[in-house]
Amino acid sequence: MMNPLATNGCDGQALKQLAVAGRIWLEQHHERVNQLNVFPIPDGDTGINMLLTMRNACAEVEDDASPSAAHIARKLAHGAIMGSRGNSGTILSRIWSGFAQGLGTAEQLSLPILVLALRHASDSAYSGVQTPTEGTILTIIRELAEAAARLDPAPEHDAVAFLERLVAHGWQAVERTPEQLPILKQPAWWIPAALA
Amino acid sequence: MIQQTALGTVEMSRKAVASLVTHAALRSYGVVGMTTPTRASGLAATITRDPHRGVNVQIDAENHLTIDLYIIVEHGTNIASVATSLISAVRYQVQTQTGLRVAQINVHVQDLRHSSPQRMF
Repeated sequence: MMNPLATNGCDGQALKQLAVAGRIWLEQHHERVNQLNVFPIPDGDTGINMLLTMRNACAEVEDDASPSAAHIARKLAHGAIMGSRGNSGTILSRIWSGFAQGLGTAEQLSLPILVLALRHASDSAYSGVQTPTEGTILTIIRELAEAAARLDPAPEHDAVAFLERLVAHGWQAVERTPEQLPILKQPAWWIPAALA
Repeated sequence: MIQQTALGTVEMSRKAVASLVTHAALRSYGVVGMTTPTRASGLAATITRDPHRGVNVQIDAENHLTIDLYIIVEHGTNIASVATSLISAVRYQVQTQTGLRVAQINVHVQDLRHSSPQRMF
């Protein structure tokens, strides 16, 4: 089966499925993400905050049958903003908001538009804070957007291969974060527990 | 505010606590600026670049802090969520770094800013 991103792009319903896939990943892994949470407060709620934000984003489009990718992206962003929880949820909502802005009025999400949308997502995420802290989710979305801009989707137009390469860049960016945010290097027992 | 220890006393000014609060606040996501309670004095503070503007620290007889924050929030964020995260971040930073107990933090959203996203690369 030809991948929708490879040809004309994916429509709103396919984008919805991609967002739901992200939510399901968080349903399965949010406790692991909670354990990784040491900044700005080690209160172990990053995973659940991201999950609650994504649940609200996906609920917003659940009954929406629009074929427009731009329309679905805007509604996902709205749901994410309204349901955002904590720092990570708020950043996630800004990422969706920028992503939707990058789509503009595009009915279909093609690879070139995905590259543009990721750039907008990164810029939007950074504009939401006075003093950005590197080594956080901000760094990851920026490095993903940078990698997407460098990767040339043209040769094979294979969306799956493109996204796999992009995800590999994302993991490399994650592995570099302890060099950017030293608290990530500290053992868990060293970090003061969150105060009630 | 003065803390008694076995070896002597530690005295910390409200200004020192305010600096700590400002540092934490400007790193809290969604907070894009600090401002003073009124627009007119806010302009004056901008001109003088007072690093403690937008923060008011009160201390009671039992060394408990009450902190008021006057902030500008990024348009297009969930303000309630931004404010809640800010309160947690400030309480955590102040209590872990000073050992003082924070009794209350009040957040006053004075304005919203619609920033044009800056290109990061």
